[in-house]
Amino acid sequence: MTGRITRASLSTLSLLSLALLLGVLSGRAELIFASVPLVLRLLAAARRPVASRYTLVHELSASRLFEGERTTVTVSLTAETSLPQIEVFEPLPFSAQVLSGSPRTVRALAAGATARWSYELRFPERGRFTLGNVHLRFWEPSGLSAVETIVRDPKTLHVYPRAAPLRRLPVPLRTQASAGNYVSPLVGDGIELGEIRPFAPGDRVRHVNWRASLRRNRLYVTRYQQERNADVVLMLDTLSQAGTGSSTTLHASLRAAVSLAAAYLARKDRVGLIEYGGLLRWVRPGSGRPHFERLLSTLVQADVTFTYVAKDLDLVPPRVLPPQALVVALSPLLDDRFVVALRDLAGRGFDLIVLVVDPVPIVRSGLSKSLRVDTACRLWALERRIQLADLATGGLRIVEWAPDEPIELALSRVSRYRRPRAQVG
Amino acid sequence: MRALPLIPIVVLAGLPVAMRPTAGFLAVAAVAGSLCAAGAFGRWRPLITAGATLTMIQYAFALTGAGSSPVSAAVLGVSLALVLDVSEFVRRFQRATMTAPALSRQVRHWIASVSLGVVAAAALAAVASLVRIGGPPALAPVLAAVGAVMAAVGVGGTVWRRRPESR
Repeated sequence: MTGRITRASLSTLSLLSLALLLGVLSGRAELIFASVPLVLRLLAAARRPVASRYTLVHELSASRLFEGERTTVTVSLTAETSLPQIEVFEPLPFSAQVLSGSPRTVRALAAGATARWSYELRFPERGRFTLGNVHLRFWEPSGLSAVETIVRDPKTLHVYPRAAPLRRLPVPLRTQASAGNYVSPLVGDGIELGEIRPFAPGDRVRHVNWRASLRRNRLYVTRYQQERNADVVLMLDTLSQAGTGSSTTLHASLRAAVSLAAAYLARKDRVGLIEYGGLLRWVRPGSGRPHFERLLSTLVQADVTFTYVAKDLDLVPPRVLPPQALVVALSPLLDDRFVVALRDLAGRGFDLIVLVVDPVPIVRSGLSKSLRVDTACRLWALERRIQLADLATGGLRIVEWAPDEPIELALSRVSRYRRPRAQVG
Repeated sequence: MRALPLIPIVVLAGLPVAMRPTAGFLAVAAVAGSLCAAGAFGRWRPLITAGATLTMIQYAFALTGAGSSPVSAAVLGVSLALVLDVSEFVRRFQRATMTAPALSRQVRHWIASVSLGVVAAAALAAVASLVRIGGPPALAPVLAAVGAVMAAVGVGGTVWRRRPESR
């Protein structure tokens, strides 16, 4: 606890001194009498503060949210001693919006009384925030002195990028050994009819196709096509970004990454993540709801970290980047080092799709409309078109995505470049 | 609630005008009142102090040639303390949710301060009229000055002993 005299006492002291001075100069006792209430005010502030005892509980209705969702903060304060004037304040993250209630309240509680109040917060931007550091200020009623303390009960609130539902996804060219939703060209166990062939020693009796066998007077067996899953690795470019505030290419890339991760995981695929930037971080491919949470936790921390160093993809373990994996790179392609990394992946034979987040509309939306801005953006768009055409000529499969259009629309253009051997079951 | 400081400000600025109702006093009172009101609405304490200072100087001028007026002194002191108290209250709890018990407790504090201020000023006036300092009259201002300085030092020392702790 920290006790302090506020600056308001300086005003009182100045006026008191002036009253005394004027009283002496004018020789009138009235000015001395007039200073008495000011003296009383200062003396009340100079009293030693009584130690306050209380219990404060801070609760969050949800600690994991998607962008735009709400959480309710409930604070309950139980006074063990009388609290004549207590100010309770919780500093909020910059992006948080208070929908109802107030994080700053002034209360008076008798000994043993409990006050409980709540306020609703909305988080429009992704991020990892800490709530629960509540500032308490016990005021002397005149406001000349206060005792301050902070009750620390930190709770981490994760606000994840919002996932858009995707029905159509780029189909991986190669599948893995585990069971999944893709019909593999290989025959084996499954439900999709593959072939009917003559019985051979070793075939199981339950695979005998009796109708074909009776028709041909010879034993035939039915073989099914295997259903496999795939490994999908999302490669996020955090070397650079364009835009301001929450309207940046990185934010758009993150939303796309979350949408893709959710959609592929729903198809029983294993999804991994590589954050390629100043910090090279990764999440091994995995599946299931806990793995989705792991991906979200990593994505929520993704940020552009400036570096001059070009990261080498050889640093990434093969388990993180399996050779058969479909790699979906999400980038505005503003940094040549990322282009080099993409060429490296394509050269190693990875099934690679580059989803290019178009930075031009994002930057344009943050600028005032003028002929100069318009011309500059058009020139930039033309330069980028040439750059992307060069990359496409070099063998990279590139799909451009303007963040104001549905990501599904951009992904539907991927199929024009690909001839999948496997199909979605 | 933002308009609450206007009540003591009007009383404070109006007191010297009530004592000497001239155009000059009215103009100065209007300036002082405006400064206080601007400080209260703009949440800028130095303006309130400036307005109160102007009123106090004006009050000192209003007293010259007038008879003894302990009631006006009590009103000035109490309204001065209330202006500071109420404007500080409004300033520090701006944009905070104020519960009814907290507000009623604050109002009770103001009523108690006003009562105590009036009683204390009246008691001091009564004691002053009863007790006369002996000795040559030329010594009286010197004694008053010594007393004023001692009072100011005492109050200042009491207050500043509890300076904010560094965090």
